[in-house]
Amino acid sequence: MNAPSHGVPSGSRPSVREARHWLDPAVVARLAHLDVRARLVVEGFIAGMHRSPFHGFSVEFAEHRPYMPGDPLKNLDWKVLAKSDRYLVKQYTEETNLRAHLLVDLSGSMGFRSERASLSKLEYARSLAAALAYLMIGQQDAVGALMFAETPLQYVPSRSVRSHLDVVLKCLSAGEPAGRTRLAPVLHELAERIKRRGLVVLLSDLLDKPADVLSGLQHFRHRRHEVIVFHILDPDEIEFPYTDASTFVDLETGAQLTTEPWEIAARYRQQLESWRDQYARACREQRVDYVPLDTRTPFDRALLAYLEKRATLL
Amino acid sequence: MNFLNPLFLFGLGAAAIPVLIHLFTRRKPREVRFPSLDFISEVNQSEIRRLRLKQLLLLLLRTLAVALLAMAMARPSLQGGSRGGSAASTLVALVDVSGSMGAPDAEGRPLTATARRVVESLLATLGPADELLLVPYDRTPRPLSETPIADAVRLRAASQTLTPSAAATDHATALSVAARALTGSRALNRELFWVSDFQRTGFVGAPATSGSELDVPPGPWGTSRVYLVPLTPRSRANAALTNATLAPAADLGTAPALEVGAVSYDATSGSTAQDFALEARELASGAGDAAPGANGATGAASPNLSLGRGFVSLASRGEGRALLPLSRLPEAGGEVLLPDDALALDNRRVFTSGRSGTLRVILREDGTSSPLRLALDAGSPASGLTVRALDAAQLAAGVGDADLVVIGDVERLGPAELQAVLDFHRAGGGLLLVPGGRADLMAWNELLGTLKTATMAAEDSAPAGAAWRLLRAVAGHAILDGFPARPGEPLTQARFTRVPVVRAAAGSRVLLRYDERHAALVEGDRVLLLATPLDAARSDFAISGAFLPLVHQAARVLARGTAAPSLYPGDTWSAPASATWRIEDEAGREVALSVETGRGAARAVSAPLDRTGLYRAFADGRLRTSFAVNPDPREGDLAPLPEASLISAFPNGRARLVRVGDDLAARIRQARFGRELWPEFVIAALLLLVAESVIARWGMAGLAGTPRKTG
Repeated sequence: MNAPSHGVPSGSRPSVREARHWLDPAVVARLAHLDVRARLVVEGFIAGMHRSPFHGFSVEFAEHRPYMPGDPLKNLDWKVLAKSDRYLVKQYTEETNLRAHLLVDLSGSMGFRSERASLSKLEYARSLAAALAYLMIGQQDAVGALMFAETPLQYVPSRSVRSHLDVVLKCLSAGEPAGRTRLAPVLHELAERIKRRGLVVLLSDLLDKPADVLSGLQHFRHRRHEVIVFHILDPDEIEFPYTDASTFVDLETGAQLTTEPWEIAARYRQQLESWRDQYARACREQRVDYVPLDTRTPFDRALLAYLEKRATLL
Repeated sequence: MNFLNPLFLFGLGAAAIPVLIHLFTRRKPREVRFPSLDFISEVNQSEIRRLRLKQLLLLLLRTLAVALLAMAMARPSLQGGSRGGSAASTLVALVDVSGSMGAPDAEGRPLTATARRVVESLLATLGPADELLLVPYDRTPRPLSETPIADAVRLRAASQTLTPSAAATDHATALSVAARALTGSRALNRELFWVSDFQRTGFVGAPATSGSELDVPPGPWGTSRVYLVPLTPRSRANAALTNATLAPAADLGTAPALEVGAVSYDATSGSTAQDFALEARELASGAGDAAPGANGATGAASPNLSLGRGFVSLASRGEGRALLPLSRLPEAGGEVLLPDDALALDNRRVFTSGRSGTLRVILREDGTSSPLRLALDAGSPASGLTVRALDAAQLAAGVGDADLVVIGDVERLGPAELQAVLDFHRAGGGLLLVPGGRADLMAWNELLGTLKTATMAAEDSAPAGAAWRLLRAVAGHAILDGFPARPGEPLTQARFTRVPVVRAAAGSRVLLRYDERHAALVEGDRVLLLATPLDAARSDFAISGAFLPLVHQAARVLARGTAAPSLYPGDTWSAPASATWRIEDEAGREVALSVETGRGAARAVSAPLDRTGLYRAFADGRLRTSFAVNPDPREGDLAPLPEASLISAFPNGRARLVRVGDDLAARIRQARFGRELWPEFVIAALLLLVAESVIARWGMAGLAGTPRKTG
């Protein structure tokens, strides 16, 4: 992968602060290529892991390496230290026993980006999906991808080889936002197609009937899949900060509605909050991880959610 | 509701501004691409009706607020009104300047001084198109002009001359003048300002209790506003002298004495009688009978002119009499004094004495004294009458010096004497004609016909055992003061068995009668015919108690116009114009005289006598007579009419009280234009704007703290 020219580290290892810089969507938005975004996001994420309560993600010993300040002491090989008086850290190799499927919504509504956001919802979803793919491949998990709108548009089966990452990223990069959001048929179809139990990661604005969406998620759960839902919304969708009389045009249907936004803003926010609460509650009941995000949310929150989920699976 | 600045009502057009802004400044909605309209349309469906209602409400509030502000600038007011902003007002200011208004107020100044201030305040409220009729009044209204005027300078100058007179109060007459002035006004605002102490005795037939109604003269009271400005004296405890006359025995060799009458109006607390000191003093006679002017009589009594001291006992409210012994009989007249109290005016009473102080009565009579002469002469000179009995030969020469000629026997007068009597009458002299029982009807009818008084016929006799009584025929005549007041009542218990048939001529009136056919006392033009037989064969009237006072009062009224021993302030004095008269008051100031002719005679009539005291009248340069002018004792009763009675005398809501110290101008403005409502309108407009802000903000409450996107 080629690093872009604008401040992207290429050779030397970045500092923790510099690495975490790449978790900010506003910064990532300046990167053109998805693979670069994925790499930098993940590196930034991993660079900060030593300060997090997360305890690692590998279980099989691979090799020793010299202890570096900041490494957890629990990884220090005490036996070697006792025998040879050398500080070596144990490194592990992950078992390849997780199949992940990244489901990215490519409907028209995902193309929305407000003035306050750096990324559209789709761009955010793509970046996050790419980072997850990068992270998963790095852990030798099998990763697949599905781009869908009203129907499945492009599907890449899950594989764990490193070369598969390019395929996945290519899949994630393809397509423009169009069409209406029809989550339920897609989820049901995919649930039927994936035979082996794994992890399903849905990245969508969920602008469909909640009952249908939840039915699709329930299907995955029925097939004993673990599911993470990244509910991605734009800040303006959440806060609805419009003041002047406006004609709103639906990105999916083209329908128009003229109204005084500031008059209905309060009720709108109530409705939206209720809608998100409905998803959150239903997902909790179905033991689905529901992660509400807006396109300004740093990526590490989503990545951390993934790792926590993975930890429960292993 | 009216508007004092109606031009500002054009500002109501500004109320359309919010509507115009709403209609013409609506910006085209900008297009916003949004992920999904599901939530927006769902919320909009439920909110759109409320939003439209709210927008209409906001528009209404804004329009109303602007309209109210425009109306506030037009100065809305309740009642009254001034279409065009300068409608004329006609004001009548009745200002009581009667004697009681000389009582000091709480600050020690006369009430008229306070009245002046009130009038000045009133003048300050006059607009350029307003007019005012200033009517000072006591017993007589004296309007400054015939109709209301707008000459502020003249009005102000006249207001400065408001001083208390000595006269009594007649509110009703003054109110009639005000009613006429207001009736004649075509102004939009007609207002009466009545500044007075509202003395109860100034109202004829004033109600005794506050709940009773007071009759006011008819007037445009229903369309006028009446402001009552009551002035209150410092104290109403007052004692007044009501009488001071020489006792009848004064000339009979005994010590002279003065009969003094006094009345107390709440002069002391409780009912216990209290003695009030009296002092009698002689008034300097000045020039005596000498020519007037040079010597100038002065009214000031020096200490060595003291005639005596005494006391009169008065209860809290009540009358008292005292006989005050005098060290000597004053030459021209004197005065009695009471100590100072609430009203100084009535603490002095003047009396006349001496020759000049009496009325000169010529009695044409021959022979021994008749009952008529005895009656006329009784108590003289204390009675105020000096009687000279003349025979026919002396009559022509003596009649020129007489105030009154009494004739009992016309039939004995020769043509020259009769002519002298008629000349005396034509010159304004009074005649008292008393035909006896044996009167020559032809001679009498000739004289009575000439005087156009009555005709006489042969006497009638009462049936055996029956008799006529002397009955009153009219009410309220000065000659009959003190007698039973109602017409038809017998004047005396005297019986008349034979009376002449007397019929009053046209233009004469019957004051006393025996029955419808037989008149007893007929009043003609300066002529009184007393057709009462005085001999014992025909009646016992001559020895009845009514005869003497009736004859005395008839003589006084004929000679002076009143039966009272003194005149009241405001009265006029008159005398036959046969001489050149000059009248001086107590201080030597000349009183204007005019000659009035009418009904075949000419009389010199003085101007109203404004001051109390002793007046002297000179005929052809020689002191002819003197007379006293004393205040009406009723003026000393300072009790006011209850305010409730005053207010209720006018149509409901038209009369209002204004206290001294109130902001008269503000009260007038409020009543004339009503209470101004612009503060309420401004407050209402501000409240509407606040409500508008709250309602408008209410729809944005959820946005607090969040960034806004502007167009």
